Amino acid sequence: MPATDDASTISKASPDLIPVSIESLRALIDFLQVDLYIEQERSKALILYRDRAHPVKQSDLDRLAQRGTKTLYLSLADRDGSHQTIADKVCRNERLAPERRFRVLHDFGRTAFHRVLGDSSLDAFVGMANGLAQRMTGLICRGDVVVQDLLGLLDYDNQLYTHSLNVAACSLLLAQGLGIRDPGELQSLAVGALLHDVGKRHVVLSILKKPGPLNARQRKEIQNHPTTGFRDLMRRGELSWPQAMMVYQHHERCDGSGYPVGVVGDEIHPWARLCAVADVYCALTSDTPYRKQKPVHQALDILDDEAEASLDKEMVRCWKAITAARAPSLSS
Amino acid sequence: MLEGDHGGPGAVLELVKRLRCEIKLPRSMADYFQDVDAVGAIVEDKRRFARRTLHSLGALEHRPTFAALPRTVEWHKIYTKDVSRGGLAFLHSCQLFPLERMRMLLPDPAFQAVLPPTCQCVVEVARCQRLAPNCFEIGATFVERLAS
Repeated sequence: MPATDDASTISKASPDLIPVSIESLRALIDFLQVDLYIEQERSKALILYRDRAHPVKQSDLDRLAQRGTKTLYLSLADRDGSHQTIADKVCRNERLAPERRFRVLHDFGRTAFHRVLGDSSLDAFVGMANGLAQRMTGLICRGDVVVQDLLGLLDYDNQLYTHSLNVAACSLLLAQGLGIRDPGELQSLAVGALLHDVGKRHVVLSILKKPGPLNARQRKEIQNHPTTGFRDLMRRGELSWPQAMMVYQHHERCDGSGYPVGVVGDEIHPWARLCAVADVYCALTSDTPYRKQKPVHQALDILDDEAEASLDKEMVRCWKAITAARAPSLSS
Repeated sequence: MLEGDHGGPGAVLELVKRLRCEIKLPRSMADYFQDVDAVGAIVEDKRRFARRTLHSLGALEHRPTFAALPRTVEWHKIYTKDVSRGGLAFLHSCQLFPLERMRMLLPDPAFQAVLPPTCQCVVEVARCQRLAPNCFEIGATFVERLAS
């Protein structure tokens, strides 16, 4: 029964609360026993919706969805409520369809990402990327998530986290398509892809979200993110060189038109070239503040044009083959 | 070759000149060392310290900074471009990465204005820009002045 007393009200800004989508909760309710909170329509305050002694049911979620509620909040103060525990439980739950497991991972990853975004030490950020990459690589390597499921699941709001996760997922698929099979190598690649835009933490939101064209100063600030990301991560000393190059070189282009250095062809690390293909594809198929998302077939055409000069031709060919042959409905 | 006491900047300059040069200047920079008009000119920008054009020779000792990036320890000839109290820009035959730290020899007496009383220093790479094959412009800051 919904609780409405004042003692059950909790601040939305509480660091112990994480938002979880109704769809993710459907995958969790069999084994998740935590206190759940709901946002009040008028005051926007969070009130207790179900305590752990009265677990939420599918019928409750149906009702909430009908009312237009998209999110509930669970408390990390709960013993079973930590991110890691929940993500592990979800990823190991064979009874859940793979795409639902990936969706939950996506949801929880987003929350984890936003929680660590302001961490100036980067420790939490890199820890989050490692944990997420491990689970994502596990799901994709085992073949649990098939390509059409994954491509259909990618979110298109192009927030920093969503974009990073999308690029990581596409990078993994492309790497597999190119013949990389070693799980350790794939996981390492996924971490690099998740961190590829970490330098954007230093770019003010008003520039990242600017709907119109950028002026020279703003463009310079944006174009500095591969260098600042590289500097931040190399000071930690934990990344492999290929991972570091994904961060530093993912905006380099084979014809020398990229940044920050303007290196060409083989001077760009293969993992950075791979990341560039995934990055461009995900950017094209996502809504950004300055451009509406393009349909997949248009995005592939643009990739094709880019491959003529600036992207790695073989990698673009491989990506087209992956999307066209294995996800025909998305290519049309 | 460049270790030890060489008898002052003049002798070091002679040794630096003898290093093999791998930099390939683009055609637009063919008269790099003949561009006398540019020498000493103040580069107009909004940096903290004023930069002066100084086209000269120097030597850079490659050393590993990152465990993940092996570097063979060896000396390379470089062309300096401009200099300020805080750092310098130079041309190099290969790409260097931000935060890499290397020893540099700048024996041209013109550098004495910013590096007294030594021609040896440690620089940290701040930026790198490819100008042409085997020609990268690198911006670096002085992090340590070394005794000669």
